[in-house]
Amino acid sequence: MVVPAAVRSAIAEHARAELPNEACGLLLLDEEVAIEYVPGENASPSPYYFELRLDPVVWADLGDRDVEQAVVHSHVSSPPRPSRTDVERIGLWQGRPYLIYSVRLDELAAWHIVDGGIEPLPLSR
Amino acid sequence: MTVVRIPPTLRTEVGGARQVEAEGDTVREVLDDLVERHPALAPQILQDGGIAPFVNVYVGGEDVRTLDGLDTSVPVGGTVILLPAMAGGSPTPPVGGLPPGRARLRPPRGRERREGGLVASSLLDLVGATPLVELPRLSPKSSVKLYAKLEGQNPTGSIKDRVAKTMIESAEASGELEPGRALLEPTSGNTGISLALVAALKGYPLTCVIPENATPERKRLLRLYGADIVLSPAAEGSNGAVRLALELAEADPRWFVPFQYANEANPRAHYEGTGAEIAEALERVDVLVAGLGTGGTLMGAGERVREAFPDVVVAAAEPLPGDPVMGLRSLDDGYVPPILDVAKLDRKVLVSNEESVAAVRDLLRLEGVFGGVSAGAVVAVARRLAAELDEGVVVTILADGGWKYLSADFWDAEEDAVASSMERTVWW
Repeated sequence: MVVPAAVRSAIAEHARAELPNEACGLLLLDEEVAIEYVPGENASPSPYYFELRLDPVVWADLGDRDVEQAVVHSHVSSPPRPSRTDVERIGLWQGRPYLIYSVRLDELAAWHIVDGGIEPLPLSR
Repeated sequence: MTVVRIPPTLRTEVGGARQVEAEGDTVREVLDDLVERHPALAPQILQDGGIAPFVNVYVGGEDVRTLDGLDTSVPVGGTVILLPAMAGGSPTPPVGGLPPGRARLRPPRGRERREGGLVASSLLDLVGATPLVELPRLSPKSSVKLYAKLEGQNPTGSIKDRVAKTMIESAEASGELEPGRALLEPTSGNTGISLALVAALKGYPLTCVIPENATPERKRLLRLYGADIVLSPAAEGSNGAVRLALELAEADPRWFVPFQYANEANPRAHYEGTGAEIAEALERVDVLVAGLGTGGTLMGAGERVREAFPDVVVAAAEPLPGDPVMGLRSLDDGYVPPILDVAKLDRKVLVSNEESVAAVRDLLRLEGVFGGVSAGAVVAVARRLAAELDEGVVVTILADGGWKYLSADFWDAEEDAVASSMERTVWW
């Protein structure tokens, strides 16, 4: 997966703006290249939790575009690795791209979460 | 016919379609018809007779969980949108709580943190997100950490702010409560004061039915917040207030009675608030202790904490039968609130007036926490259960602070005078 610098900056900027809470949003991918970051609202604002909220019509319309979606959220201080909560709450997003940005480490990482296990997705700029 | 928009995560189950059709006047009927046409969708969108946890369902742009759930009406020719319910988070901090100096790090909707402090757009946005504080001097052994959740730090000084806000906003969302309608609630104190705040800010007239022997502070506070008061006989206690309020409401259907004893928004406020905050703040909880009043705290917070820590023991502090302890409720005294499911309690621990008074005094003397009268009962039970553990974490929920009980003798009178005072007065 490729996340160009401009898109990565948008994710980092949103994560910093939401401090001290976690930020979340959707990444739109075209042929595994990130083309746009859509910031969401954290409906349960917390430094340790997120609940992604987007206007449902907007999100449904995004789903009708011929692009893949990835869920993105920030970890305020811990590494960009899925937590137990992330794994337990993956739900319908199982097996789909799942990105985490660590604000403290300024690191972005991508993962697949499947059947309680996590596997990294190679990421480049 | 209703159009149902399908997210990419569920399209395999409908043969790749972006939207499909289904029939029905309510969300339940539409989803039932949908799974009949596309059986592979069933486990993804319906579970245990409700909406599956990892999917959100929207009608008219609103999450139906905030409307009438599966009973939400679907307009003719309307659109239902299905979307993934995405949530997660980073590892919670170690036992010991939130980082130093950041005790209120969790601004809910409506709050924002600015340079120099927290800024809220309404006092109602400051309900919840109360701190946990460790009580090391009250823990019977150093290997057991004892925490108290300080609900007295809510805007009107009690845990009931959560319940009042959730009950009113749920009724508004469902359309059951319309602007200007008058509210009526039986209460001997905290719930009335909390409802009075919510009612004042939202513009509803409020009448509280309270036992005539409720404390003078309570009556005065209710009036200051703008509530009208109807007194019920002292001898009937809080059960008498319930009886009279229900009689009044039956005689005049213009009243809207939130009725915390039977309102599912009561435990939900604690599931989504009190319990979620505890589960989020701590890495481990072995025992959760709360007072048995309406049952809302124990049911809601207990369920949420158990989801995070399946082996937790949820314990109710219950007064001895016939003992007017602290306004908590003895189930043997005749009224079991409909929202209370005793089967969901792991322990019921009886506590006497004397133990409660000793504990509320220790709480102030040793830890500097000025707890309300029920705080003594829950702390006494928490200490007892902590003593049974070799090591672990015990959390207890202090429903309010001591400020509304200053006319009482708990903190400085002789024990006989305290017992006599407690028999004269309704404290909850």
